[in-house]
Amino acid sequence: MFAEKKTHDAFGVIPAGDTRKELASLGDSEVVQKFLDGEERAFGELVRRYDSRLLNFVYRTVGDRERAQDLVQETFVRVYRHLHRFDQSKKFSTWIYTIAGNLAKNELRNRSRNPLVLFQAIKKNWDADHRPLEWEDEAYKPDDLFRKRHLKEKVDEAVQQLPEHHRIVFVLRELEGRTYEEIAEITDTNLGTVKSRLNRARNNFARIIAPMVD
Amino acid sequence: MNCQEFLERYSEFRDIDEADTEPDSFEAHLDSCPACRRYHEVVERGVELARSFSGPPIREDFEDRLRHHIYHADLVAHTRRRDGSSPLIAVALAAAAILAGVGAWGPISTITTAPTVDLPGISASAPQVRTILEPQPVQQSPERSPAFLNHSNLWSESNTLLYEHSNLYHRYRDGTLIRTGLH
Ligand SMILES: [Zn+2]
Repeated sequence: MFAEKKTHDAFGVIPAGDTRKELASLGDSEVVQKFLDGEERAFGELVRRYDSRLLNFVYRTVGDRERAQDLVQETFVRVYRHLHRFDQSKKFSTWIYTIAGNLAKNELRNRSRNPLVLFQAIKKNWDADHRPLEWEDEAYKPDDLFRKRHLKEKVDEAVQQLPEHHRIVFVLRELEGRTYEEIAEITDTNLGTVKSRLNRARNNFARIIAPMVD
Repeated sequence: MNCQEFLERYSEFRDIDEADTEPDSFEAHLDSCPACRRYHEVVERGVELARSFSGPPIREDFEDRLRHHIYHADLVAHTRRRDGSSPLIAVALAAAAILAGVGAWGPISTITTAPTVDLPGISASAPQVRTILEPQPVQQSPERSPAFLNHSNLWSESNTLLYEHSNLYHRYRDGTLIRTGLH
């Protein structure tokens, strides 16, 4: 596989600059097809399109910058190796998010191998799914300087405080703009579950963030 | 619509493009209920803030590392598939490929051609027999010295590589053998 592609590339069938411009103007599925046809530079285009987006998504999900970088690396390695198996009638972005999401979920699962941590995670998930939805705007408002200084931390913290299965749908919908159907596919759940988790995630998020928001 | 119903169905309103819901009843409730209005504002503002904070930047060496990982993963898999040879050989081949391939991978790097170099033929001969560091007697109680360590072939020449790369070697050198690491 390598030899063929490298030869093709090394011969420079199309000048690099033009190829890059041409690739940048194509849709994902066409770039994927180019890669499958032997144009190695097409993979670089996919990396450029998705590296930051995936890093944001994975970082928000696992809450660890360094691990997020590693997991995004691993995502691209898998894409490179398995792209020939990708069903091209589907959206490439959904597929790559599914790979990244699964790696992020595995990471969280590995962290909760300790039975106590696992128990706490299960309890947190159960509570988050069964607690009545409520809204009470607390009167506490920190002063402006404090609020400005801590806003970023608080917002990050609010996302991180959501239980894992709420966090992932919240990030995919609110920060990544994915559709319900895509979220269902990425998280391997049904639409009803996506809706209910998203609603609860928003409720939790609002309660945490409210004191910081004017 | 009351407040509870508003909270329970809030996502239908927020994701109006995803739902077959008429927003009228939600809007009517928002007009008459300051608490739910505040809720909606907090969600909107919070999400806006979360979006405005960019996540961590991609590391500078991200692409180099990725290229390395891909060559490594691909070549190891290919070598294993081809002849089922040992992972050590596969790793060595991968390392050679990385050296040869760095900079030549088109998608990310700007280098598009690699120079061709004629190298002289390589002749190989058997490596010199190295002196093997014999394990020192273990200064511990006999029951902590497993019998198989005394097996004569374990330290023989053919096992040098295995020995020198095993935990046993380092632990003997440190003189702190506690466990063999072999289970
Ligand atoms: Zn209300």
